[in-house]
Amino acid sequence: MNDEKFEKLLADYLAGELDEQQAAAFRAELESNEQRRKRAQEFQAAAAALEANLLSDEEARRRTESLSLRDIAARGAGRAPELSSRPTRFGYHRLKAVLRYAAVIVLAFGAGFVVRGWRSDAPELSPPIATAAPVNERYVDDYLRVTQAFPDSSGFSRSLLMLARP
Amino acid sequence: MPADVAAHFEAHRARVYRWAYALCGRHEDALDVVQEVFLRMLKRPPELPSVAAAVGWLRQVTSRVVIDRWRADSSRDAARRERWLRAAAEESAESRELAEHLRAAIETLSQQQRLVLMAKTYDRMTFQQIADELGIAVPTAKTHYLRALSAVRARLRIDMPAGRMS
Repeated sequence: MNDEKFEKLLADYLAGELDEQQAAAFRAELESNEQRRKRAQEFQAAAAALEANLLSDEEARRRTESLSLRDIAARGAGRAPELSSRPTRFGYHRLKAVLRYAAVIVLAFGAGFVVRGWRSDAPELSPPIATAAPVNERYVDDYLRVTQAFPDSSGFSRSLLMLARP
Repeated sequence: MPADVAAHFEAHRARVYRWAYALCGRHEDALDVVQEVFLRMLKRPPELPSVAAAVGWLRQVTSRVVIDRWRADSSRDAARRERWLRAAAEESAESRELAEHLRAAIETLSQQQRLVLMAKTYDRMTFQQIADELGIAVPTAKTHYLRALSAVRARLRIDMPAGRMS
């Protein structure tokens, strides 16, 4: 048996695809050739290592029970999955936040009313009296004089006359 | 949500998880892979005539998703180490070590070698079925299988002492 044929039969042997007669002939070949026997054993060990990581169908089904296509689609859309076991979770948190803000606003208004009420009990202060500007008596005398002298003059004319006074 | 994708999800999610777990060796990662695979199906539903015909497509996508994750992990070593530490509490050191060795071995394979390995080891398909599904010759499928086993053997440093076959 050449190497190429041996390799093909080795693959079939490892995969369990040889019939009983072929398998017996192959085992006889391995018994007679230590190097090939060693090679076959190493490949068998590699196949066994791969199978050690295998799960049963039942176990795989059990582990994927919680998955839902809707959650996967939601994940793909970039938003948190809305799991059926917690449908109101997001709404509850949002409601809580809204209520918190509402409470702050009510408290602020309440505090405003309390302060305003307290202030209204206090005696009202009269507005400060503006200090009268000092009146230049000479201007008043001039104005009266011009008005008496020219009763029909306009305000602008009287101002000019006042400026032109000696 | 497309009804046919929902049908594929119901029929194949455990199978995809089983493949993913065999390749990744961790529940958390396998669940992520399942979600990613069906997300890809949702985004670009394949033209599949039947639920049974979807298996080949799903196997290819699962293999690509796993490899993409490994490559992303390699470029984010810190994140990868952290994930390993998190997983340490759940899984035994032996199974972690085996999973890591298998991962390193499988990562070196070509996509076709990986697909042959998955179909042969995880789905117990015959070489003829694998060849038909992948559109390759039966001897090529056998060669891919042996190369995959050879990579695992080299990675695990399986070196049998000369002796009789068990």
